[in-house]
Amino acid sequence: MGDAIGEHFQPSLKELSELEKLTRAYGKFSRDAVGLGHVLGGGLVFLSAYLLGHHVHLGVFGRLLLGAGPFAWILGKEWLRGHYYQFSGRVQQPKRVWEDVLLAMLTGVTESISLTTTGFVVHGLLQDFSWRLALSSLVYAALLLAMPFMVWRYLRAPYEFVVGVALLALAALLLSGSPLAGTPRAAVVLGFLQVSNVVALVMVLVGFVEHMEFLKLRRKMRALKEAA
Amino acid sequence: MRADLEGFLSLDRVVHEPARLVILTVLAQAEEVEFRFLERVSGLTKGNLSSHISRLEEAGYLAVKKFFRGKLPATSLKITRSGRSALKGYREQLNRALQRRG
Repeated sequence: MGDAIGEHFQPSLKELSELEKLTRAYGKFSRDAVGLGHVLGGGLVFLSAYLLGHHVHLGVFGRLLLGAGPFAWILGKEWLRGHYYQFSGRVQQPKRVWEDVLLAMLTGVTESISLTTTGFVVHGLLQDFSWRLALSSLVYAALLLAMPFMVWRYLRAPYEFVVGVALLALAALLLSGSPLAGTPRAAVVLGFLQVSNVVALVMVLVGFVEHMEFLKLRRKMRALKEAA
Repeated sequence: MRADLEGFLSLDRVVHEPARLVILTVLAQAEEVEFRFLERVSGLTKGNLSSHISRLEEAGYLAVKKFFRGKLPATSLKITRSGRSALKGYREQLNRALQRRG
C-alpha cells in the first residue's frame, strides 16, 4: 500500500478508490457482463436467423442441434462466468433496487406473449388438424411455454434477456419447422428474423467490448499479484 | 487535546487498521465476495487475512459463510449493515479530521 491518509502506512484514498473500481468491474461479470458469452449468443442468433430466413434444409439431427442452441448457450455462459471471467473467486454484483421489478415485468411480458402465441398455434391447429402439424406445434408450444421460466431463472440481465428470448423463439421455429410458414403470419416471422440480425450484431459488439474490459482487468489483477 | 488529534484518536480502530480497511472497502462494493478474491487484491497471506476477517466478524462488521463447491471448500464474505455504517462513519470522521488539520 502506498502513502498516507494520515499515516504513511495507510492505503491512500486513491488506492482505495481504485480497489472499489476493480471490485465493481470484476463483480459485473457475475450478472451484467458475460463477454464471450454475449459474442457466442449473438453468433448463434445470427446463424439460426440465417438458416430460417434462407429456408436451408436441415435434417432432424441438424434441427435438434440448433434447437438445443439456447440451452447450450445458457450452460456455456454460466461456465464462462464461473470459470473464466471470475477466475479469482466469485464476487457477486450488488442487487439494484429496480432489478426485481424489471425481472418481474420482463417475465410477465414474456409470459403473456408466449401464452398469446400458443393460443394462436392451438387455434390454427384446431382449424386444420393434421398429426404432422400437431407434433411440430407441440414442440413449438413447449418451447414458448418454457420461456417465462427461462427468463426468470437464467436470463436476469437485460442483454441476456434479449439474446435468450431471441434464441428460444428461433429454436421454437427451427424445431417445429416453422408452423407459421406459408400463412399470413409468415410476414411477422420475417420481421422477427430481421430484428434478430440486429440483435446478433449488437450482442457481438457488446460482448467484444466487455471482453476487452475483462482483459484489461485481468492484467491489473495480475500486476497486483506480482506486486504482492 | 488538540481538536485534529482528538479526531484521529477517536477513529474506529477496528476499521482503521489498513488490512481491515481494505477488506471492508472491497466488501462494500459487492453483495458477496469469496476469500480467494480478497486474497488476490489485498496481497495478504491466507493466515493474515483470516485473522483480520475473524476480528471483523467479532465486531459484527461482516458475516462469513463456509460451503463446498463440488468437493472443494470455499468461504464467502458479506459486509453487514453495521459494517457498512462503520466504514461510512470512519470515512466521514477521517475526512473531518483531515479538514481540521488543514
